[in-house]
Amino acid sequence: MSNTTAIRIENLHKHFGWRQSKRVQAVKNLNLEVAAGQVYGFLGPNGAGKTTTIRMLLDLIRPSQGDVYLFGKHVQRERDVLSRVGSLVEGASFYDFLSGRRNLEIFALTSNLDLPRARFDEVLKLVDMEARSVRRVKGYSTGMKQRLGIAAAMLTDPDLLILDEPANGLDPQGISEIRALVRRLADQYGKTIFLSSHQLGEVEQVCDRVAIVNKGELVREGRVADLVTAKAQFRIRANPIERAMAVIDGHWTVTPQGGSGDALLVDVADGETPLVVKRLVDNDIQVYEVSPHRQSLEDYFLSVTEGENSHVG
Amino acid sequence: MWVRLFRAEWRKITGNRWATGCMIGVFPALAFLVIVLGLLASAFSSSFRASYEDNLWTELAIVPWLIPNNPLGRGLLLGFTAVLFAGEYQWNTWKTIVPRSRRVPLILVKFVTVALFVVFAFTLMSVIWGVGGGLLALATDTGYGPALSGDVLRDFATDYGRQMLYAFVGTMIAAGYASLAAMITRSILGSAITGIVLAIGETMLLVPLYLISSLLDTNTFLHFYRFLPSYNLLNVLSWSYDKSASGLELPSGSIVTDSQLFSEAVLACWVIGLIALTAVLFQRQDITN
Repeated sequence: MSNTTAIRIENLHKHFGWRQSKRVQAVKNLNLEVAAGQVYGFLGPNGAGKTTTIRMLLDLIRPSQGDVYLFGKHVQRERDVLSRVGSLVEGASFYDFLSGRRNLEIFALTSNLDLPRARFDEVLKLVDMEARSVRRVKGYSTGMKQRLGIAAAMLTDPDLLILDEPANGLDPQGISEIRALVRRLADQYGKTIFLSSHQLGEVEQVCDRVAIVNKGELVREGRVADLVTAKAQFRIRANPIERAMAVIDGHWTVTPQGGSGDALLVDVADGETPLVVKRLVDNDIQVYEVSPHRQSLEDYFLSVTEGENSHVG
Repeated sequence: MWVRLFRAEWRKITGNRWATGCMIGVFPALAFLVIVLGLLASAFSSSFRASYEDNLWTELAIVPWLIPNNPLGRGLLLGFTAVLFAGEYQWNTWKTIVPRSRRVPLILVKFVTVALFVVFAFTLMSVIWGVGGGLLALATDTGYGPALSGDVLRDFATDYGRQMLYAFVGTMIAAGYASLAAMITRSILGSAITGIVLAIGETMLLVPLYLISSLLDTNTFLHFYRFLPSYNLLNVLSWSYDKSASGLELPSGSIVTDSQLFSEAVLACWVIGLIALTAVLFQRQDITN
């Protein structure tokens, strides 16, 4: 195993429940490798096993079978490796009755670190929470808690950050800030970031690679750029759309596009677009728009999860 | 590592002013209030001065230590320890803390810190009570013996140390119940209720055991009670204050007594057993919401 591998997951299984009849298989035969220095997206619908996997990465729960290695060390047998990891799991949780700064001090002490005051200032500045850190967490907004959670994760200057839904509950401004922060941590500080998110658009913008899991199993893995450009598609707006579809179908792969219902997505090879347009015009169909369609990560995600779930998580 | 974990726990306890104040801080605060009221009464009421009697500082300073092992004190201790153990589940803070440290030291330090904090609070109460008793004696012109001497101080220190130890043991047992309940219920209220039910149930077990023993005309089942914490705490306190065993009456009418050493050994086994069980279960537990 290379020491440039930050995370290696081998044949990971996790089930909950003692009785066979009531057993829930949360993760099934998951294999994954994350290279150091990457921002790695971990996607899947609700109940796909993302948080369960993250909990196993952090030794919060034990796998039913399989192994997790962080930087080449077995996370259960060589638990000290977790000192190289910062985490934010399913939203930030703090002692509400203490200030943000006091929470960070407690987390540092439990990490067996006596950090100088300057380090707390540094991480609080990183997440723009310096001024508000003396207030009790009880009065914090969700966004402030999330930012403080990232500060807590960064406290020990970890090599690997595991962030589970870091943008959850944030407004667009907050999401944008988190995205910028994640990218900065990777680009400027060389951190490896393992990120699960509801925000597919954000993942697409911030991640180098993604893994998509569904029903506990890995369904796709690869570079974001490769996944979103896997197909060459054109978007065609035409009238009447039903006839347009009938005319094209059989020659090219065509998919109705949602929304206003007056558009089609057509899979075409390079240079075939004029042929599609000619065919439509020859059949007295009015063509209003022909534009290249870049498949978004969301489109790709929905296609590989077979539309079984209407939303992601 | 241990010192840092202890500091973290201490900060959590002292920072949780509501729980700490209502369930533990209330005792020294009440002691202070009673002394102040007593001093005011002695300043303004001649009948209070006349009725105030001589006291022994060696007794007054030890009285606060009875609280942790009486039913009210034990209930509050269970509530307090439930907040500290179950709070980590209810506030979801284990998921942030557990990856940062080894689990067994985390839970062991929590036990020790809770017990030391309780001992600290009751030491404070004892100082307030002892010094306040002296001030009241001065204000009412009454006796406050015995005079200081090497023997008096030695005997007092022995008694005092023993009371502290019993309060520490009582707290550890309460914490043991609360921590096990916290792991099962994962809520503060659930843990407090389960802990109190366990503690009361353990005391009340005497009734069914007595009935079974009477019905079957055997003392065998009743002897089981001699190995429970509440009986042994009562026995060590009885030895400490009355210099005699508390005793357990059997259906036959005879009374079984146990030595102080026997009860101390049983209590030590309970403390070690409860902590070990908590540590083993916590080590294997899945930390989920």
